[in-house]
This record gives sequence, structure tokens and C-alpha cells, in this order.
Amino acid sequence: MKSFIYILFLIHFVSLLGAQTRHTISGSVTDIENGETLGGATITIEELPGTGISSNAYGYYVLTLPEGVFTLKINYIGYKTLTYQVNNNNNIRHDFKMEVQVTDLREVNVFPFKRNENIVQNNIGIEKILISEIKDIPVFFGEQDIMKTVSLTPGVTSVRDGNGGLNVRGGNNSHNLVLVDEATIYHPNHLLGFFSTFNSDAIKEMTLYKATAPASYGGRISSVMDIRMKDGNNQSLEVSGGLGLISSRLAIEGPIVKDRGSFFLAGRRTYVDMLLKLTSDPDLKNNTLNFYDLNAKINYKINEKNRIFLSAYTGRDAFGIPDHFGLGWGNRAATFRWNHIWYDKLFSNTSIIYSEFDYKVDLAFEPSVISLLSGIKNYNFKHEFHYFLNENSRFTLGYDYILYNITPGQLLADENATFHPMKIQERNGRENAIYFSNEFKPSPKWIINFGIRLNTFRSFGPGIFYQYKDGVLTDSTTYKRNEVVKSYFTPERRLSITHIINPRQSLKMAYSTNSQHIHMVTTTEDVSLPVDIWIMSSKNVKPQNSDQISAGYFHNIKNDMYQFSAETYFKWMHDQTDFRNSPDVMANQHIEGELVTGNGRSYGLELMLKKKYGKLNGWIGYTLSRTELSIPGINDGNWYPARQDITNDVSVVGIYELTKYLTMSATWVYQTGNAVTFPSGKYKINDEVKYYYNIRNGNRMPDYHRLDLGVTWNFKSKRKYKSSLNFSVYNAYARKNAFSINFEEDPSDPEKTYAVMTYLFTAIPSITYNFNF
Amino acid sequence: MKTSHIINRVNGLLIPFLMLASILTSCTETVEFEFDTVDPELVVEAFVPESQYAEVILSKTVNINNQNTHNVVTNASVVLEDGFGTSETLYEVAPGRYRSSKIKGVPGSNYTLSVATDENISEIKSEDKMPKPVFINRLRVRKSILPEIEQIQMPEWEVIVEYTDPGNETNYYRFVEYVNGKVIASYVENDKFNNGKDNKSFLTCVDRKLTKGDTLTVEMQSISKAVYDYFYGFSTMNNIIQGTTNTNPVSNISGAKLGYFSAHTVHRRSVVIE
Repeated sequence: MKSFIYILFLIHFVSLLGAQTRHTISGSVTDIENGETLGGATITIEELPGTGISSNAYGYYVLTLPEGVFTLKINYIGYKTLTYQVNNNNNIRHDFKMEVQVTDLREVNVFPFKRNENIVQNNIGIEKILISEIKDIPVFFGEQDIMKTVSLTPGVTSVRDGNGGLNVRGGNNSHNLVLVDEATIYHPNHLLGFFSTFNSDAIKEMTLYKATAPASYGGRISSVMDIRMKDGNNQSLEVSGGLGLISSRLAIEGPIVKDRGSFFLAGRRTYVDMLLKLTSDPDLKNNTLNFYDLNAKINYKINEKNRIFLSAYTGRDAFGIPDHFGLGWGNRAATFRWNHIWYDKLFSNTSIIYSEFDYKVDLAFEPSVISLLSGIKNYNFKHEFHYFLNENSRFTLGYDYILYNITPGQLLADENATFHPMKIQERNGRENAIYFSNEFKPSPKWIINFGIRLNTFRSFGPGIFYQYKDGVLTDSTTYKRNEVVKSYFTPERRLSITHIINPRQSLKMAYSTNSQHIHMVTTTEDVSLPVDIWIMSSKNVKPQNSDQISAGYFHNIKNDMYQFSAETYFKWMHDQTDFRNSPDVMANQHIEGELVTGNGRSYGLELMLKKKYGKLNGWIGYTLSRTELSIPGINDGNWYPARQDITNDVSVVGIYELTKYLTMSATWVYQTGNAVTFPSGKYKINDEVKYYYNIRNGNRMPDYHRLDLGVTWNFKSKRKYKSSLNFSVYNAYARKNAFSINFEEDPSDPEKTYAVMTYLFTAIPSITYNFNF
Repeated sequence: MKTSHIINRVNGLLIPFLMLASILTSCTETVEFEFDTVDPELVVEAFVPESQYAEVILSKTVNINNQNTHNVVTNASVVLEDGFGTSETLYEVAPGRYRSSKIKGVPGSNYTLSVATDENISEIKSEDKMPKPVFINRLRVRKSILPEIEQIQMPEWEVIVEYTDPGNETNYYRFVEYVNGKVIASYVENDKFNNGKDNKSFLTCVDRKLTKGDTLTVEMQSISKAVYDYFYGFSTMNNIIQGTTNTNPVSNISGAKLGYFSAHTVHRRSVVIE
């Protein structure tokens, strides 16, 4: 605590040093053509080298400068540098409207400004991806996918084909907080994970925090994927879309009141089942297999000080064999936000958020149909203040309240059914957090960000709550409505420090602790099926915790043309839950009794060489890492490789602008096969051959590698009408990557055993026509 | 080993989903594989069927690429004790196969097994209680009503076992399916979802081949929870909805990693395929 006060004192001392008359310049940074806010735009002052700020996530900025005339330079990737001269003798408001760099976007010469944000910003373990940057990367079935692109960066892996889950620095899929306009998306995958729930037409950008997320985020122990939807064009009506082989997209956006408000509406639907209808097979014909996404957003600037946003998302998958089986799942999310500028230095955002995920399985069981369902939802209120003390110090203070409700499982059956209807008790929880953080620059060479998030989680009634010891029920207590069952206090610490050695080199380090109260237990790690079960911290289940330290060296060469980074991390994960052997998962009231708890750890080295500009751009990423678990009762409690342990991971992304009209691209990935358990022996039980397993995760899948190619032809634009044709080949050299390896007996000689590998894809070509007017 | 109701049903239907979802491009091929070699592990398979003599089969695991799974353990001392105070050392009727000559299974009775072999130092012991019998009311076999999809292996036949579950207790069952006297599959289930109901269990076996004149027999066994857990353990492996981690099922025999000891009831019904 002492050091905390000392630091605060220090900040104020620093800020008082320049106690001349100071005035503020504040406003927003937007795109001139469509009015989209530009969060993260940098503003530097030519007369004061080393000072600079960036706009917040809503595009709002504040600069505090002494009296005088200054030249401001505003930069944002893909936009022309804006120069603005200000005579600072008054507090003024000025909105910057930036223009897209249209021709030769990546030509070297059009960027006279410093492009070393990666060096001078306090952003260790952060990847920011703009949809506009990835539009030329090869796609799978014609769908541009931000989640797939982020898995091409170091530290992020996706295990095998057909698995939408992302593992960030050794964490599992449920350790990622996936947000779209602040609302949690619990199951961000469609169709077994071949597609994410994020329609690229609707998304503006994604920021991935692998190491230390700002204190305003909490609730997951590995990463935050903060995805922002487009606001909508507030200048003119715009239509864009794409026609693909198995899916199509359409988006409409336009002003409600020019310059003040806009709407955005985007939809996407796959139609694999429509292709099935073309087949002559009558049984195949009537099956359902599709998904859709709908994104909608409205924003309105009431006046200079108030702006409101309303965003909504819904998406659903459906699969069905008529009269037999139906499986549906989906996410719904809505966010209402209010930006308010109290006075030029104090900005606030208030959000009211709702999100929900559910799945339902319908089964025909003579003489009736039964349904199994499960779901999770949350209501969230978040209130956050940004206080811009001066260009060297910025404070964030916020309050976050989340109400969770989980329906772990329910079986619906009518009177005639051979099954009893049943419902696993619903569970309720409340998470309260207050958080504070401060980013300040004690000198032009140092940036320090520290934060604290004080979290409490309470699970509460009504319901009967159980306690287990070694899987055996030992106690059950009935709680009334709103009666607290168990509460946990989990303070989280965040710290990141950047030392700018020179404009070409910097050193960064970060430390963070995180906690997680909503736990996903899954038995379907290899495929992304929506039958995950969510549970919350309880008498039996402790909150998951992680500590992570990371350090990085950043170096730009050739006038910032090549950006190199080396980051290393060590992460400890505590109270990780896993199922004990052969758990009873389906609609089990006592699922918490099926869990065992252990620890995890992950460490690694991530190297990245990026070329962001020029005709040829892209990156090479390499990760060397190890992820291990120690769970009592498994492998004698020794550390063993986790399923997502992938030793070597290489990604190469190359985009080449051949001409103004033609762009070619390629991505190549290589991964060490992940850890699995294969049999070590066989024996017979009841005359059937059974396999003997010796060491958990003691084997490896074959190495995974894949090349994707893409060509984009941009047609000559006719007035406003722009269009392009994208041709992609997924897995171009048709590598047979193992999806699973099973062991089977030779039908003619049951004593013989074969290893049978299943692979999902050979080369898959696709073609998409994209348009915009 | 399979579970025979909801879980199995969902699984049977999710597999086609997976296939469809991968746009019918999924393929399999046999691959060269280097298998681990480990020290052989003792396997105990012991059962006391209702009204039949008890039998214990002792064997050891073999390496995967071994052509022969027959690796018996002979000259062991196998002692069985029933709830009526009878104790008997089982005699070896064939190499590795030990049988009682006095003790026959009786519902409601407790049985204790102890095994000693030349190699195993640790004490191998188990206990199981035979539950009350439950009978098959009706056994039906019919052509599957599931749609046929060319590229996907769907069960061709459906075998439906009808029985009445007693409502006053938790029951565990095992069904062993025979075609012309040969075991082809077995299934376990409990009454979690259907306690006290007139039940229909679908025995879903994808590669069951039946032709006219074949005799299909289903043996229904009432088993203990421990034996259910053991067999259920097999069903959670290589199985989409119930988990993919391969582990050995938890045995109810202390001192042995692999195998089970089951005192179970026996009720059989047969159908001749028309």
C-alpha cells in the first residue's frame, strides 16, 4: 500500500512539474467518409517530441498543453496523416476527421510519419487486428474470419481442424473472454468451429490481450478478445455484401441524421442444406444444416457531450434429421451504451449488457419427443470513468456488476414418454468488481500502467447446495432465494511497464493476476460441439486463478519497415477443474462431484517478424511453448502435457499486391501434434478387445501443417460500386491432417489391430464475390 | 461397450452431423503406427451369474501389434466366498479359466473374491452384491427407421428391449447382445431418466449384420453400481458426446488396474429374424 501511495504522489509531482497555464484540446477522431469512430488513433505534438496520446475505444481524446502554438499529427493505420495547427490559448473542442489512404495503401513513401507504435506504446502481449487489414488473407469457404486470423499470431493456437476453440498461452477455450461490443459470447463458433460467430462485414476490429488486459476487463484467466462492431456510416447509405458457395452476407448502413447518428444492419446465412436439397437422395434432402448471424447497431450523438449506442447480435445453428433429431444452439447479446463527457478531461461510459447462450437437443423416442436443454445468461451493468489528467497521465475508474443465471440441464418429456421430465437446479451468481488503473509516463522513455480490480463473487439461492468429498456427497443444505451460499473475494493486480530505449527499440514487461468464476466443463474438446456445461464457483468449485509474468523486446529496422518482437511468458494456473475418469455428464445434478481439481502451468517464447507496409507484407510467427497439468490421480500427480500442449508453432502470412487490381496471399501453418493418449496394450473383456492406457497424454498426434492460398481481383470501380472476386484454396497441397486416430480390429482377424486416421479435408477451393456501394 | 439410451441415441445421431458438417469430405485411412510397448498388466474378469457357477478369467495385456490377445495367467489361487458362509477355491478348467463347483449366483447375495498369482504381490480383492432381477417384457428387432445416408454408416437394424423398471430403487443394467450365440456388443444403462417407467431401450450397434434366419439374443443383467461404472467407463472413450480422453475404466477390484467382478442376474430373450 505504501508504494501505491508513493506512486500516486509521484504522478502528481510529475504532473505539477509543468505547472504553467494549461489548456485542453478534446474531441473525437472519426473517419471522414463514414463517421466511424477510430479508437487507438495516435496524436503527437511536433514541438514536444516524446509526448503523445491515443484516443480511447470510443475515439475520444484529450490533450493538455501549455499555452502556445502547436502542430498536431494524427495517425491511424490505413489513414492519411492529419496535421492540425492549434493556437492553444483556450480549452477547445476539435473533432478530427481522417481520410482513408486509398491508393497504394501500403506504399512506403506515403507514410512520412513515425510508424513505431509497436515500440512506443505500452502494449506487451496485445494483438490488434483491423478487419480492413485482413481482407486479403486466404479464407475458408469464402468467409473472412477474425478468429482464424488471430490464431495465426504467436501464442494463439487452434488444435487441429474442426475445432474453433482458441488456446491462448496454454489456456483452454473457456479461459478466453470473448466480447462483442462488451457483451460476452459464450460459444463463438458455428458448425463445429469451422466458422466463428463474427461476420466480417459487421466487425471493425479485434484486440486480443494475451498477457495483461486492462483492469476494466475481468472474469477469465487467459485472454480477452475485445471485438468491436462497426458503428454504421453516418454520411451516406452504404450497402455491402458477398456471395459465396455456401454462405452469403449482406450489410446495410446509413445515417439516421447525417453527422449525428447512424444505423448498421448485417446478416449472414449458410445454406449447406440448400445444397443438400439439390441432391437426389431423398433422405439427405430434407436434413437441416445451417447457421445465421444478425448484427444490428444504432448510434446517435445527442449533443457534443452525449452519445448513445445500441448493439445487438443473435446467431443460431440448426441441424436436424426430420422426425428423428434436432440440435440447435445460439448466442444472443445486446448492449446499450452511453458516452458522456462531464467536462473535457472526464469521460464516462455506462453500459447495460445482456448475453445468453443455450442449446437444445430434440430426440424422437417412441412414443414421443424428448428435449434436452442447457443455457447460461448474464446481465451486466458497467460504469467507467476516464480521467485525462494530462498527456502523461490517464486514470480509469469503474464498477462492474454481473448477474449470472445458469440452467445446467433440463429434460423435457410429456406424460407418454418413457422418460421422466427433470430439471437440474438453476444456479445464480453475482460478480461485483471495482477497478482502478492509471497509465502514466514518468519520463518520455517510460510508460507505466498499473491497475487493481477488486472482485467479489457470490453464489446465492434458491436451491439445494451440495458438498462432496472425493466425489461422494457429504452434505446438502437448502438455501432461500437471495441467500448467499458462498462468496469469494479475488483481488486482481495488473502492471505493465514499457521502457523506450530509442525510437527503434523498447523493452516491456507485464505482470497480472486473473480470476474466473464461470467455469466451462467439457468432454468434447476435440470438436466444437455446443454441449459444454457451465458451472459457477461454489462450495466445491473454487475460483480459477492465474498469475502471469511476461517480458518482451521490440525492435524495428529499416525505417520501421520490419517490426521484430520477442516475448516470453510464464503462466501459473490454479484450481483448474477437469472431470474424473468416466464422468456422468448428462443432466447430472451432482456434476460438481464428478470434478477433480489440479494446477496448470504454461511457459513459452514467442517470436514475430512483421512487415506491415510495402507491396509485400505479412508476418512470420514462431512459438515455442509448453503447457502442463498436475491433477491428483492422473499420472501419479506428476506434471504431464495438457491436450493443448503444442511445442512448435509456426505461422507465415504473406500478402502481395501484384497490381492495383490483383492481390495474392498465402498462409502456412505448422504445429507439433498435440498431446493425446493412445493405447499401450490390449486385452479381452467379454470376448471384446479392449485397450490398455498407461500414461495420460503420453503420445502425440502427427504434426499438423497446411498451406492456404488466395487471390483477390478488385474490379474497376464504377462510380460508387466497388467489387472484388476472391478465390481461395484451403489446404492447397492437400495435407491429410489427422482429426482423430482410432484403433480398430481387423474385421477378418480380430486379433490384428490397425490405427485408423480420420482427416476432414483435403484441398478445398472456394470463390466469393464481394461488393460495396 | 455402449450406453443404450439417450446418450447413445444422441451420439448415434451426432456422428452423421459431424460428417455432414464436414461437407462429406471426411475420409479415413489406415496409418502406420508405432505402438508403445509396456510391461504386461493383469486383467481380472470375474462373474457370478444368477443360478450359474461362478467363473474367473485371468489374463495379461499384450502389446498392440501382438497378433494374439491370448495371454493367460495359470496356476493362480482364486477363492470365492458367498453370503451364506461357503468358501471355495476355484479350479482351473482351462488355462487361465477358473470355475466354482459349489457356489452359484443368488439374487441379493454378497460375494467376495480374492486372487493370488505368482507375480502379483499386492492383494487382489473384490466384493459385489447381486441386485434383484428385472425381466425383459418384450424384445423387438426391426429395420432402422433412421434415414439412410449413403456416405454415412447408419445402423441398419434397431433392437428394442422393453422392460419395467422397479420404481423403489436405483437400477443398473447391462445388456449383452448375441447373434447366433456369438457376443456382438454389450450396453449399460441406469434408470436416472426413467425410474419406475415402462422402458424401451434402443440397442444401437452400427455394424450389426443380420440375415433371415439369424437368432438374435439379448441377455439382460441387473448389475451393481460399481460394475455399471466400470462398463460405462468404456463408453466414454472415443465417443463424441461423452468425452474423448482415453483412460482405463475404474475397476471394482482392488489391487488390479484392469477388469471387474460382477454378481449379476440373467434373463434372456431371443428373436429369429424374418
